[in-house]
Amino acid sequence: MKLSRELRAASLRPIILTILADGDAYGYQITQRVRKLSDGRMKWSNGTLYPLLHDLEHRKLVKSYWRETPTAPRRKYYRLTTKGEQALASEKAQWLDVHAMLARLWGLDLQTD
Amino acid sequence: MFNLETALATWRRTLETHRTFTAEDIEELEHHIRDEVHGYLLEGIDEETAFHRALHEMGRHGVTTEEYRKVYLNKLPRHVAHARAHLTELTMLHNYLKIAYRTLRKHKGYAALNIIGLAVGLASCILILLYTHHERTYDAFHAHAEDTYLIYKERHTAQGVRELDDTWPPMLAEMQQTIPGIEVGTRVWHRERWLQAGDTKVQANITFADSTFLDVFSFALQAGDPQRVLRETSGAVLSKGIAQQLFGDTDPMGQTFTYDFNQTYEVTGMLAEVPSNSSVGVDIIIPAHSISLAEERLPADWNGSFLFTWVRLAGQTTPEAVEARFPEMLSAVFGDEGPNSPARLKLKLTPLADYYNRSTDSNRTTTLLLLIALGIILIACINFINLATARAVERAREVGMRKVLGAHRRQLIQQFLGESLVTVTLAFAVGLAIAWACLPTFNSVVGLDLSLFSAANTWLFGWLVALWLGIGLLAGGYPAFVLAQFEPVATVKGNVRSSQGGQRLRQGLVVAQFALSILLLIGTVGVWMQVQYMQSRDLSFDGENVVVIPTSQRDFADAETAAAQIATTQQEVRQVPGVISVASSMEVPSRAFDANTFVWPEGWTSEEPVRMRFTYVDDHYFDTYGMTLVAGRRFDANRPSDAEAMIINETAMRDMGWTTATVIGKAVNDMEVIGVIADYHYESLENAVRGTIHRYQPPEGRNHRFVSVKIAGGDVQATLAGIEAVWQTLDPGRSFEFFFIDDDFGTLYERVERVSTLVGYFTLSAILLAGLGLLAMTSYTVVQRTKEIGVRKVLGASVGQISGLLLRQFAQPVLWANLLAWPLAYFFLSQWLQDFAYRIAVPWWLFPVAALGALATALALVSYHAIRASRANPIRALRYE
Repeated sequence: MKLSRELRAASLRPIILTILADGDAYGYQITQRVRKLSDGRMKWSNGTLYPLLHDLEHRKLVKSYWRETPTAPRRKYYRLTTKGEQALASEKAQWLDVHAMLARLWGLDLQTD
Repeated sequence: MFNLETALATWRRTLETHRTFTAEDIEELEHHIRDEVHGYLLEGIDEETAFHRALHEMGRHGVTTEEYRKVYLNKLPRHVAHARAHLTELTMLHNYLKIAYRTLRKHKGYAALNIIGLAVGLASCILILLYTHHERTYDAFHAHAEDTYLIYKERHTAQGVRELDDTWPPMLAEMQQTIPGIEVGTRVWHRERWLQAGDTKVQANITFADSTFLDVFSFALQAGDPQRVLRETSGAVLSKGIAQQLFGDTDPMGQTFTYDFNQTYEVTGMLAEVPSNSSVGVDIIIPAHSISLAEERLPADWNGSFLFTWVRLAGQTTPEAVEARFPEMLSAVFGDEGPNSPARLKLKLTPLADYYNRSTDSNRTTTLLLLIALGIILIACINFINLATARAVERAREVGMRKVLGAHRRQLIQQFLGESLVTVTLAFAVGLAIAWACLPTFNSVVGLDLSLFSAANTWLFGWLVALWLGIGLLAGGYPAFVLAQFEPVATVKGNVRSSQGGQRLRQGLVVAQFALSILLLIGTVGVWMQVQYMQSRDLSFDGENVVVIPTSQRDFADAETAAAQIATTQQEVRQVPGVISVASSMEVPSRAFDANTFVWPEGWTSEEPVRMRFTYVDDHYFDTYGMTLVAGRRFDANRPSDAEAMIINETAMRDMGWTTATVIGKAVNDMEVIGVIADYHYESLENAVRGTIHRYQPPEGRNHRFVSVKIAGGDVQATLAGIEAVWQTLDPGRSFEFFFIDDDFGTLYERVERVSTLVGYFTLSAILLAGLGLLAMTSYTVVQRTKEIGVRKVLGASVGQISGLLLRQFAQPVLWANLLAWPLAYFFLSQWLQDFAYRIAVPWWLFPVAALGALATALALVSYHAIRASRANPIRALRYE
């Protein structure tokens, strides 16, 4: 499955926020998680990922810091802020709303009516 | 052979050329690529393919610059980190300057208005700063101005507290013995005396001083040793001016002259030019210890108080500590009773640095002027801001175009700030030129010789640079931000109107301008009215056509013979056609001599004596000056008893508790009161008339210093020539000097007239500036409302209705401004008037008149644009819709 350009752009934000909600991560880790979760079907140009991360940071939804361990080289980690958690909650509600509506429209939702 | 590191290095360089990426971004991306490559390597893919695949996943060129741009543009000041950016900025600076120059050239009228407005404001400020600096650094050239103090007396009497600067000759020595912390002290007094060198006679104001004079005051010597000159017995220090008068062009050093016709001195030192802001004037210094004449010799006792005592305190000593010791000293010298006891007399210290301000209250004047300067600069800045934002509408398209072409907000702000700095720089140049051109006129008004470009004025240029930056950045800053904020799409469509907030700000600024102008206007007229009042007030004597010839028997080598001669010469003057009356006196109304005495009037019960001014007059004095007798009689030369009589003024009568019915025949200090003269003014109306005792002395009397001649108004020149011919027989070698009492009295108001003139000039410039600003604001509004006016006209509005609409908009701020200005004007004016014993009431009618004046000016200025706008063809305004 290949996502449309618009949907890819729109979904990237909640996905990144959700992944960061599980724990701090650096850019490559995030792409790897996404690749694994979608069985390799979901792919963005990584050139989109970093600007978005930086944008999230600018909006104070995430915070970045450099971390170096004896085994791994220096990497830039991102952490979800409280504001980011709130943003994620709101994104989640919106996505679920859209999802529920589409499901109803398409007659997939058997619980209603 | 593919090398990952080389490939990464190449990739990094590509990214580094982009301004979009910071080093940190690149490092983050590099780690990502390395991780990807590592992952592919584990899958068994070769390094080169892995690298290209990783890069491909990044997007075009390894990473999409565009994505980064979207995030960073106008949000983060990241590119500041790039040195490369500076190079671009330099190129852009050139561009900005070019644009600034072109904008100014293209809108010559606007530029001229802006530059000249600011320049006039600046020129006013520069002149005020020059004057204020001169006044505020009075006596500051003395090395120890801060630690040097004058000891003055504060006399507490029934008539209130009076400050007197004179003290007793033995006081300094007494202080140095009993009070610790006095490093050095000097006593100074002045006398008008004659000096003679060869046949040349010169009258000079002589400074008698202790040998420590030059240790206390830092008057520079052009020649002579400051440590020695005043310690020699017959040495004297001369100023250049006096030396020139006495010795002409010969080198004065070593020359001799006689003082008071009998004592010979040698010139041992020459004073360098004394700064004009020195309150201790020195023409010639004669060491006090050299005086041999009995009347000039310093009495060793505490009976006479006539000299100034200056001391320099040692580092840690405070003036308060010294003051605390005075009661003890006074009590030891004068006892605990009487007028000089500690209870009635306080000795105080006042610093040399504050001496000028204390005697002239100059700080009030300079503060007033500085406030006006601030007002002018504010008005000029407001104009600058208003004009610039007004022009912004027309420049909106340029801003839009620049934005569309990728200009950053910061760049736009830079550009407009740059333009404002260019304008301000030009304004400064013009302002300096105006100040320089006006300086001679200004100097003649303030009676000084200030210069603009002198080494002593470095402080001024420091201020100017600060002002330049301040005005350039502040006045240019606001318009720059407003301009840079425009939405590109709106501007390119030509659809810009300023925000509600912006309009309110501009309205506020206009209100402030008008309030300042009205405040200044009321203040100026108020000050002017007070000056007029003082000059036209009835002085209670008739000074018209009274010629005064300063003459004293001490002006002559042989005083006794001279006294008789002066008396006979007066008789001869009476024979000159046109002369009505001739009188001798110790003082004349414009040249009051501050002589005071204590008296015990008959029946005075209080322990405290009454303090009175006293003066000597002859029997013609009151007639010559047309002074009114309210009780009793005038002096009579034929009654020998009048030598022990006095004529007092009305204030003295009241102070002693008498009325016209009871006063005649009363005794004061064993002298009989034979008459009461109506209060007449003998000094500036700033001061109230004080109780004065007039005692009689015949024309030969030794205390007389003036001969007053009342002449008929007809042929004044002929009468004067006649008097001169007679007078010359008295001493043929001396030039005939005289003054008219009216003119002389007028000079008492020079200082306050000066304030009035200065305030007037600067108010005028402030009002002009405010008017200029309003004119600009109107044009702005009219441009903004062109379309509205067009629509209104199409819908049938008349020219009158539309003009009215615009006029209303500007009448409102003027009314608000009045509301603000009135209480302030009242406060300041009544404060200023407090200083005058005889003053006008705050003129209430002035307030509405000023308001109407401001309103009328505003309406006149607005009308021009309003009528033009309302008469314009609406088609022009609406064509583009």
